[in-house]
Amino acid sequence: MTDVNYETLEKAILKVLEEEKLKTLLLQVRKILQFYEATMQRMGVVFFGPSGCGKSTIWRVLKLTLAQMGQKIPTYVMNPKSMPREQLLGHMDMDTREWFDGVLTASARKVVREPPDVKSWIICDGDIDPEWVESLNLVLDDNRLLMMPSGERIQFSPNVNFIFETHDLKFASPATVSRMGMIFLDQESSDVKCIVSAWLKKQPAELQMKLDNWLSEYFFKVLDWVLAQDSAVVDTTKAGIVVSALSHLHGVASKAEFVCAAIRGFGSNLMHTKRAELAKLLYSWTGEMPADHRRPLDGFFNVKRGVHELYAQDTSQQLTFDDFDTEGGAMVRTAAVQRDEHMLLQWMGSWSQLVVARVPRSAGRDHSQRRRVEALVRRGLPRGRENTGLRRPDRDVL
Amino acid sequence: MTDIERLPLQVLCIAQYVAFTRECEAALPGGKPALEKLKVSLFQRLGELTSYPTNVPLSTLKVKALVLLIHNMDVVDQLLKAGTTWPKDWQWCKQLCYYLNQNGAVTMLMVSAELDYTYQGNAPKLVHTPLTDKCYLTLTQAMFMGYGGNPYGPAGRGKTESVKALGNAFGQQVLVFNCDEGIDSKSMGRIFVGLVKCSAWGCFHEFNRLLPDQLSEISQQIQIIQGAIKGREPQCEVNGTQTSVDPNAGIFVTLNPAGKGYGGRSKLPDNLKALFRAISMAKPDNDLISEVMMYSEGFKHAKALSVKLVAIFTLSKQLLSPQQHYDWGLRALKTILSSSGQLLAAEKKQQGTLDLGQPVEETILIKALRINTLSKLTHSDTEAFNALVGDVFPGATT
Repeated sequence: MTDVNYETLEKAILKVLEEEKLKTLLLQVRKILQFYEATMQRMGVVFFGPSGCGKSTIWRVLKLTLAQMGQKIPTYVMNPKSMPREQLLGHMDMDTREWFDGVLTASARKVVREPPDVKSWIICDGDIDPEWVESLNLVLDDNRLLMMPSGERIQFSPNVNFIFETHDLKFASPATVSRMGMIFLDQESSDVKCIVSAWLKKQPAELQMKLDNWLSEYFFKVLDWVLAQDSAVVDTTKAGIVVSALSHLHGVASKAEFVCAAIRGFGSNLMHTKRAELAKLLYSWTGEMPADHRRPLDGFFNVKRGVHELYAQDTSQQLTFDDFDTEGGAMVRTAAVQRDEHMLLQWMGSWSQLVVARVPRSAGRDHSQRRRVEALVRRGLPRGRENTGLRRPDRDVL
Repeated sequence: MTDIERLPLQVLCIAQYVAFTRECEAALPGGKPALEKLKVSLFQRLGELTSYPTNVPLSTLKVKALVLLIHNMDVVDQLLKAGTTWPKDWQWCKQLCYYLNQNGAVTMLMVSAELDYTYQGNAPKLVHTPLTDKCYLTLTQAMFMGYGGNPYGPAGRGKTESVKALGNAFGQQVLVFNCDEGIDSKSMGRIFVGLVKCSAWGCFHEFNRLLPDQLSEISQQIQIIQGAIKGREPQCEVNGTQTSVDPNAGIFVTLNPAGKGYGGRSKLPDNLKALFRAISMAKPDNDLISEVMMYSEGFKHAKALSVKLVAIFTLSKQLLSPQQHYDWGLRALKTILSSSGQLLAAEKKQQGTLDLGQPVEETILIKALRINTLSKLTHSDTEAFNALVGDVFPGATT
């Protein structure tokens, strides 16, 4: 007996997963089906799980699937915690008693105007806080009624769903929890192996075999070690570490390059001493020879020449004393700075996600950021990509 | 039986109630044998209803609602148990009795009100339990004495639904309002004026989420209105404006206790508490509710199955790990019941029979249970839950 018997839907989901180059995981497919069932039974559905476990992916896949099956789903995504209550739920001018719609109430108005055969989703991506979610209590139970302080009442029909994505229900009261359908996602349901193999699928075909070998041989060993150390600079999740590490492995063509990239990828969120340990460990596991055993971190793999090299202090710069006096100052391109630049460039080039730099004051944070932007401009990348994406603090530079 | 297609649900229900009141009062002096006979005839009616062949969605809704009049059998049971033979006995007087006089009237323990005949639509009916009886009794007595009613208790106990159902029984329009911090006393005043003008009942949900300073002003307004209703005055002054007052209007508030995981709620001031008669709704009769709902969804073996379903819920609450996002309350139960009803209807259509037999019904129930529960369980709890299902439903294939 299968739990949810939607054979046609399941087939469509598998097809979409294939097209999107996502790894098909039975558990995730089941979660998608459960989510579909929950939207049929309840007004509100909560995705509850740590970041990187695929909360948004699930509803996106279902949306794509339903779109292919002819069911268009308009979605309204918002982050409720990013704005004050008045902006979310609307407010009333105390003097004129005039009503101003908020983000949520405005989408609610749009949603009720849809014909009954159009299903709409209002998606609240962010932590649940009683301050705003309790105002939705009547919406989420059988009453389906949104009441605004102006006395206006919006009656929803069953074609609307409220979807919440959160990693924490600490502040949600039983009144909220009991009203919603729960989709619980844990670390187990998003096996890191799947993140890795999904990533692998997106790599150039000729490299996939090699990468697969290196990944299965070393990647998980290192991951276990990093998890055991528990010395992340910025708190993150298992999935976060994996994604961060993988971001460095794009287009890696040789084992030596793989080692250096893995050191950068895994080490970026570690304390400095741990980073050196990691590097030594990786070199000894893989049998690669660093350029200098005493400074394993300062090495990089020169692709053009095919050898390990050390970051050398850049002496080509002609700095005068006056340069340090100008606004922002000048930057001496020491080995450490070059290392960080290398790291940043990789991120800027391949991914457009947020970079979090946590550094002690006056340790060149501004400089490395400026360098990064300069390097970007030199490489002709659009500048606007720099700050896009507000996902999670994956990337750290010490 | 042909009336089901022909007449609106509200008329059918009232006719049933009037007939039952008449039959029961006629049977009461006859003592035990007469009541037993009445019970048998009611049971027959129930049997006819559950096997009523419905393919029109509207009649399905009507039959569902009419099956919920199974409560009348409970009333007869209570009368039998108490050995009542006198129509003025407490056991009989405390029931909602409908009489057909000039206008039609509802009586509950000396409180008599005229039916309002506002069209109620085919709203889903509430399952009548002893707790509902108590709630009705408190609310009608409170209205008789010119006060409001205040059902309070944890989430998902049917506080708001009870008020709505009572209004439904009286043929009154009930408007539910969700209170939050954004609503001030002026907005509340406007709502009150509207209520008393059109003789509707207002049910204020989460009343204690209003700000404390607003609450005291609101209590002033409520006091004036209640005074006017009690004294049958045609006019009263709210917010500085004269409004006409309809004596059938009523104000009810429902609230969750402040503190204990319910954030954003304040304690009601004492002067406000004094205006409302409190009824604590803490423990719903899950057994009875699920049994009756299963009958109304079309299950033939509801009694045996509902006991098992409730047992699973109780055991899950005790044996699975306590998680913030778990809810084993009435709302979760209701979701399972309604989704099992849908599965059952589909199965019946496929098989073409009305009685599927207990094993099939059991399978359908387990399916609905798993669909709606597994999504929220953590990895380790899933196994424990499956084991529980296996224990409670021995022999069922999972």
